[in-house]
Amino acid sequence: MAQHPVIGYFVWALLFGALFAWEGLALSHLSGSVPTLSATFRAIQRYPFGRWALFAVWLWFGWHLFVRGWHFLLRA
Amino acid sequence: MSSSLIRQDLVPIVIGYALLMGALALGLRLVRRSAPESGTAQARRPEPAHRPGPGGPRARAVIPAAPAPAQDAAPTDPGAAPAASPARRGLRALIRPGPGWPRLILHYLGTAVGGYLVLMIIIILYYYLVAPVAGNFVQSAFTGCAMLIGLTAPVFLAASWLAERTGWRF
Repeated sequence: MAQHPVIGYFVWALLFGALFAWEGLALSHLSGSVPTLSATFRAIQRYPFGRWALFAVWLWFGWHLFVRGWHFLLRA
Repeated sequence: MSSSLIRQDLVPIVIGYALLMGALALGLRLVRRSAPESGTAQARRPEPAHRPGPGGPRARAVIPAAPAPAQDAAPTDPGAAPAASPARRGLRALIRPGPGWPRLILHYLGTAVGGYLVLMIIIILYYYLVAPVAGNFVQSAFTGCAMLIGLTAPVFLAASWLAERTGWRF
């Protein structure tokens, strides 16, 4: 595994932690004005460009997860 | 399966999956716990006048104020409705068909093609303006994303057909 500065991993962990914390706050209804992630996605999907952008993000994830660097598992 | 593959690929995915599902389960439990309370509270007080969101109060306040197209088209004869020609009606039905499979397929095609084009534009701009990634980056993006759409479209349509046919909810 390549050696990267620890601060880089820490920033990623912090970003994902903040994402989950924000979603948890929205789901807990402690603050009534915080929309959940699904409510945000629903609001985005009302508009064609929002749907295109979300589909592009989905494609980008799928491309990176399943296509880039992909090879047959049984290939020697 | 080698141990490095397990350590580098499988373990992060399993941990990420467990974290995500755990957070969602916790949120669902909190929602279910607070649902009876909010239900009784809503039964006691009337429905609020507006909801947050882009389609909320502003949209409802603006739409009635807009002039009707029929009044603009025929200001001297308000009683006569503008008769659309058969060709125009056919075009409108083609662009926006009634509820059902044609509308679903058109909606899906519009979303898939639009999203594909948006991603390709971003990738080309990124490749030529920001960082020329090594390898067949652009070619892989074009073919790989098209392959993903081609693979998932039949699954999506089959799942939609099953949901309609059996009443299942995914």
